[in-house]
Amino acid sequence: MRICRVLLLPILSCVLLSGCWDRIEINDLAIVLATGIDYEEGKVQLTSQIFVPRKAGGGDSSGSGGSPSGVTMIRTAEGRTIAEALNRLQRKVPRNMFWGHCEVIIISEQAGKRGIREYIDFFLRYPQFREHAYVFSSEKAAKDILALLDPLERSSAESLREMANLKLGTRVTALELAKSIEGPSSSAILSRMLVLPPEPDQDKLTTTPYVKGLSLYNKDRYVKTVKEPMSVGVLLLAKELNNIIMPVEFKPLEGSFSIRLIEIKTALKPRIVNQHWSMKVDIQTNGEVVLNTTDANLTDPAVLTKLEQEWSAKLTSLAYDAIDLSQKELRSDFFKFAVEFRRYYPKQWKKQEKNWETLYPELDVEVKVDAHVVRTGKSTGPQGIPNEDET
Amino acid sequence: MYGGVHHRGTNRTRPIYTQATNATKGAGSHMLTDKGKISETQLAFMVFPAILATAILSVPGITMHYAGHDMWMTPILGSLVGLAAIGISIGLDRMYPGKTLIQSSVSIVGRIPGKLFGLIYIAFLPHLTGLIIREYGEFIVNNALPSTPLFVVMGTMVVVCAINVRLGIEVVGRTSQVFVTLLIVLLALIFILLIGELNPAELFPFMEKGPIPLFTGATAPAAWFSEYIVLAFLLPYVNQKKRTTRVMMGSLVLTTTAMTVTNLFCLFLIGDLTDTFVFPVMIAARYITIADFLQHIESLIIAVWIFGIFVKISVFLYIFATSTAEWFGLKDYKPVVVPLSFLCMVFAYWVVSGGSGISSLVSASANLYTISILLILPAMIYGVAWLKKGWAHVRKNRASTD
Repeated sequence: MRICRVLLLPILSCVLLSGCWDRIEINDLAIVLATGIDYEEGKVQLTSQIFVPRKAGGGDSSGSGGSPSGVTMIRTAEGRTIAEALNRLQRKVPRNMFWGHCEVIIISEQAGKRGIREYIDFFLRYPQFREHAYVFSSEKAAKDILALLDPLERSSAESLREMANLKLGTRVTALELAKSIEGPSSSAILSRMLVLPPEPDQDKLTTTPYVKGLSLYNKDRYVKTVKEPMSVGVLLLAKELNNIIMPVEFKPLEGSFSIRLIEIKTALKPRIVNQHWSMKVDIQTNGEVVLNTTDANLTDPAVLTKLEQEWSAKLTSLAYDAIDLSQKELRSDFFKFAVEFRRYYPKQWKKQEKNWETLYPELDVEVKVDAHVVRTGKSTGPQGIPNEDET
Repeated sequence: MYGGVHHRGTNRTRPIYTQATNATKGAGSHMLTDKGKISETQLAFMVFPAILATAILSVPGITMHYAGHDMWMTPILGSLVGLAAIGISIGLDRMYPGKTLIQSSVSIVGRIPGKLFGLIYIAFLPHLTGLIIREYGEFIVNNALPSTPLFVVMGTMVVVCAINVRLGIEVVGRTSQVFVTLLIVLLALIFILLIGELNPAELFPFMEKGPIPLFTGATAPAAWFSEYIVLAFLLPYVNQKKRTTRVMMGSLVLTTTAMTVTNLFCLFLIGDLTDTFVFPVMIAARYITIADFLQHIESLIIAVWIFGIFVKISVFLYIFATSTAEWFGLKDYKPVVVPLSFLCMVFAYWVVSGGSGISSLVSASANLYTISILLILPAMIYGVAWLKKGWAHVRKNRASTD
């Protein structure tokens, strides 16, 4: 009897142990680092950047020597929908594709023109995709950016992610993109990525993607690209401006000051008085002078005050330009004014919700900038001026 | 081994035979079917995941759907139902000490109606337990083990829970003590890790559509809070009832806080999209990214959550098994545990017809169904008990004046 029991135990265990249904060995996986979406001739092209583990593992670099990193490869497939493209993509990859590490999504402007609703739904529905993946836009084909082998980073996906973290443009995750487009403003701003031309003697893939300008989305469609200086104003109002050095010049001084942004706070204050809707934008900012090519001495309070005024004026005009673009030219609410109205005036908002598109372009917007130069760098007076007092 | 030699507490429960007014025939039905005893704290530890384990998955989405940006307040409103359920349980326990709801109902409304009342529970409990098991299975298959058959996911859990239940209330109490501590610590950890991503401005607009949606939304947490009625089945096993009310109030406050915090985090992180996801808390857990390396910790969350659901399924299986044993007047509940677990397993398939999954079941009407059985029926029994007590009092007074 006891023997029976002892025997029964392993037999019963076998029933449970027999199936490790979901077991997939790591070397049966193709780990996707980044995804690109293009649209060409009526078809969606899905590109995946796949990590090549063999090249990453070995310390031996005496091989081909052509590509310094070369630990990624790309595969592209096309289909009528993104799901169909995904299905075809798997057939081109011998391993089971794993999307859980896909930290970057690039949508080309061409694909954006057709509407990105389909892609957003896919990213938030397909189980493996991470909601925290950063979304970028690209001028040319997204697959060209994914094909790059960044000399500095392990992969171009990694360099894109680092760039998002540096906050050079907007830092938008898939979840935030969905929130932004489904929210009352129904618009989105994405960083626009370009391919840096490679050094003359280098392989054409050995280069880095870089941020230039912004792609604006109204509803779920790409509408316009903005570049500097307009993009600065857009970022300023979208509360995404960081990491920028701005030249400021004013008469009668020759030359200019360059100010690096230290801190910036943009507050949107909606107001409804007697059925009249208006928005007050309050910008508070601190900066540091990093270059002075004028003869003026920054220890002089008069110069400093003047500099702050000029800087404020410059930021104000950038902001107004961006508002004009958004209100008059594109007639779409990129700066999420609707969200603020909904928050502060829920009753009025509910009544006017449907008229927002006509209401927004007529909205009175007032921008107030309060800029301070809080540091002048290591030097006080202007440096490097040849001694002119000799004569 | 279990149900050991220490404090059986039978002496303490003996006075019930003298106190129970009538319908004391059939001595077998008055005995508890388990000789084990638990402490008040253990009971509180058992109840916490019994409510929260499934609530944190479903409540944020449902309440967002109805109450919009005010959904964080719905658990606070819903906790009133919990308060009522606790009141009924403690009240019944004071009037009929040492008797579970199944036994006291026979004493209160008489043998036949009391048995009918018990029958409702015996029919309802496998339904509820099956639903919980199914929700567990769907969650695991959706998020962790996509190609494992649902049967295996649910079956393994039910087997473990059945073993737990068979070992008696003391073991259930102790496992909950260990697991719930882990659960609370790790749940707090997710929330702390998410703080950086939150946007508190989502609190507004406040009362966007007036106060009505708030009440509609509150039915969902209320349904979960009505599960506090499990106390009516478990209080007889508590060895020392000195601070019962205080401990249970503490438990209610803790559960409400946990549910409110979960709702707040989903609201602050996902905002308007909360009701578009099947499991918003899972999205929140997946969103954690700290310093580029602390990410992909959702599997940890699942592992911890399994502890919670284990306690929840155990508690409901235990109540189902003891209730059935009490209803049939058995002396021991243990022989019925395994067959009833199997029944619950079958119910897990029966509760969901078609492929739409669990989300359609946990709707507003389902909440009303749960509330009516877990709160309104016991409230009626309690009301009758009060009337009887009052009537007895009046009669006694009349007799003394005559």
